[in-house]
Amino acid sequence: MKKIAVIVRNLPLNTRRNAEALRMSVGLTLREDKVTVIFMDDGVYTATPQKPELVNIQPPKKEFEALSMIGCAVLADKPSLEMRGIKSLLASVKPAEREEIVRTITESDIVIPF
Amino acid sequence: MKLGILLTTSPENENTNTVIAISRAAREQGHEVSIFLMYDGVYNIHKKEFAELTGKGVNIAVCALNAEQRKIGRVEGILFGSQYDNACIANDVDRFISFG
Repeated sequence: MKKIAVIVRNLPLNTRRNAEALRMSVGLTLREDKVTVIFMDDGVYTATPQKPELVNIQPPKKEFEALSMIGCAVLADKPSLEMRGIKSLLASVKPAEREEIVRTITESDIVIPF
Repeated sequence: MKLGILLTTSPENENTNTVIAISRAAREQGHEVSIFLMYDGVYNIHKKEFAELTGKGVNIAVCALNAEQRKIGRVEGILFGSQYDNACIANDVDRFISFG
């Protein structure tokens, strides 16, 4: 079993990239690998309660639900949250200190910045 | 050594030339190379130099869902697969590089 970290760093509303990163993360579990999703920098906005459908963007609800169901860790980088004044996160997302983020990345066999 | 490559950007991005160059060099040195294309990376299958990698023994798979969304036609020798193929590549290879 490999450990895979997927890092999401982009703003969520001007691209489908972040939703695709989550879909890929779900797919990567199909060979029993352990996948951790990490939201950093502007990517943390993806992990907040929002209504992207108001600007005709499909929310990545299913992807978050699937990640939660299969027990994938979903982390949001605390310094990135604090820098942006974000206090509210989706229930399945855990705020993580930078040390935990670094540990997750360094312990991973594969790191995918998406 | 088995090398896996994920490419998620379209052909105008410099990533494409890098992936082509790395794949050619790796094959010349006898390494196995598997590439998975998703998101805008699926557009690369219509770039001649990229598609020609299959002739050099590079395995290329694309996310069929992303290809359908972008109305990308099939190319001989390239697998229209799913995220499962990406999972298999990630699981099987010795090194995995992501270009996005």
